[in-house]
Amino acid sequence: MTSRADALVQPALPAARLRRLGGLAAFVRRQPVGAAALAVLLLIVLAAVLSPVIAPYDPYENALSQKWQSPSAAHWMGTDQYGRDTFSRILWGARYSLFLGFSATVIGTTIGAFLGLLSAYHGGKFDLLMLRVVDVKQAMPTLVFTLLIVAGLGPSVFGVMIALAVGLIARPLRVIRSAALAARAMTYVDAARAIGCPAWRIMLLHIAPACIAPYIVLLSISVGGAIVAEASLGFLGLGVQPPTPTWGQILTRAQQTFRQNPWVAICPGLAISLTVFACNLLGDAVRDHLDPRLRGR
Amino acid sequence: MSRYLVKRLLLAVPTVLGLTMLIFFTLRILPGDIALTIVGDDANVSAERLDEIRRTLHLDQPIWVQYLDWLRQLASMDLGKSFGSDYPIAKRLLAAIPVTFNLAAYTLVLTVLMAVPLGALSAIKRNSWVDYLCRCLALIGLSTPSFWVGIITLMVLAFSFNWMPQITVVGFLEDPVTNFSQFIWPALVLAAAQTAVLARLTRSALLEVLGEDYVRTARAKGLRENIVLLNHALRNALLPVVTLLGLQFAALMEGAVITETVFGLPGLGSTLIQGINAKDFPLIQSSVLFIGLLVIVINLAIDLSYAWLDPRIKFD
Repeated sequence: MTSRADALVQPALPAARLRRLGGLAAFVRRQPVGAAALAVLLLIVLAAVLSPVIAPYDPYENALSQKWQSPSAAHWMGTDQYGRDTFSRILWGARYSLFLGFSATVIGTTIGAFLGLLSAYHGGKFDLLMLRVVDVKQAMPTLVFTLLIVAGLGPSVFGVMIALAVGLIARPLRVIRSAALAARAMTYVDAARAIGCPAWRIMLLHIAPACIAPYIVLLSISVGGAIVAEASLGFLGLGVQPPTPTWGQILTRAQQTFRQNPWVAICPGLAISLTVFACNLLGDAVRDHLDPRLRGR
Repeated sequence: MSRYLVKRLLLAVPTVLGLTMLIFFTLRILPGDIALTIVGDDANVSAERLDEIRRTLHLDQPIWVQYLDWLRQLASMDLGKSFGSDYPIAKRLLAAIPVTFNLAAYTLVLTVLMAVPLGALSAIKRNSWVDYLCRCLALIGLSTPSFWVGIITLMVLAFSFNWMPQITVVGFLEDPVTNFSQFIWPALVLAAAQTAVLARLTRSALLEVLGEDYVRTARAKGLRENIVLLNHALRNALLPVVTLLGLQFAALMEGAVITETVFGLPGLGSTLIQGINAKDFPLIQSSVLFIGLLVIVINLAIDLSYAWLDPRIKFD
């Protein structure tokens, strides 16, 4: 049964849906650079999803007679030491790199946001413990912490996803905690408590909506870093293992063999940089659109 | 000042203790058995071999006993031996720390030398093509993975000058010129990403300061613009920049882990990677701890530098 307090604070659903659609059009109008970045990102994601269809060659198939080819009409980005087409491997690698980057971002940011929400609502010893853990975690570089977890879990898709996600928890915990503390001080929360709403209902229906904007901003600004982190793990040989192609892993080999064919070193790096550049532009635009106060966090 | 130093050192103790707990318990609470992770996919490993591994790494002890044993080892600087070899971990790390410190020092100096002028130019020529170019370069620097920049740098050096990283690292005091030639390229690669972040902040900080009354007064008095910028504006704008430099040191260490691997430098970062590849858990634990300790020490040093930059800050 919906309480009267809930009806007062929550907008009717159809209006909210319209505002969301209007929000996207307003975003494109007000943030043209961000909109362009979003379009580029969608193209990259589409290319990754359709890679089994559009990749001209099998990324796993060796063709030693074709090794170390420079870019040509047959091989747009050349071939590697096993004769594998670099363009096809980059397309297939996008699937793993983007999947791991996006999923780790969603998991890490959501867990961090949830802990931040709990921390802000309950306060006390739990809040103190969370803040101390985050403070100590800041003394350790995120990649080093991620490497520690990969060392424990072993290099695999699951291990990399969890390691990346755990490394991303600290910042959303702090940011969402701040937003939740501000919302907790609002009168409508006191009203909800006064009419006997249980704690879970107050957190999810009254405080969480105030944290949606910073949550979305955090998601958008963290994706680029997560993709770079995944590529770094792959480059260090601690990500998804061969022969599965990932962007970082393609560059591991390229580091040792660039004298034979420099294009194998150049092209995957350009793919990573372009994707992360688009993510960073989009993240900045989303932040400016939803909450410019978060600039500098 | 000495009271402040003692207070900061005392405050660092719970942070260091917390760091040891975070490292130790992260490895222990992860799902899976460390002994099984070490043997990997070897299906022929016997139960006796697994028990032997657990005994060697003290994994058969209660978790608190293991933690206190490790703390005792840290306090006596006897970090044990690498798993699978008899090489003392302390010796290995003590050889690696100066290499990482050397790289970090060059990187910090280069970062400040590049970021401050870039950020200042961007602020002075606000909304001009120079400003947009600087901001674009900063965003590109942020988006480009440091390991790829390292590979491209190696490629350019190899093709242009036939330069390859040397196997043995020479200390700065031993031969500064050779030391400089060994570290300048990895330091430049690392500094590129740091410069991007710092230049943006320098720009914001300087824009804020340039709007202050005392800057307007200095201009009204007829001082030359470069005197206004250097003596009045930039010095005040540097305080948040120094703060960020400290906060960025953790990011610098991330980059150092990768850059040391690309350029073959035997620092803490590449020691950690070798430890992970060899599944040498005692080495992994200690390497991660020492990297964290380096971050804490550098942040403390930067805290103490505030008084030199801003005499208004009184340590109490």
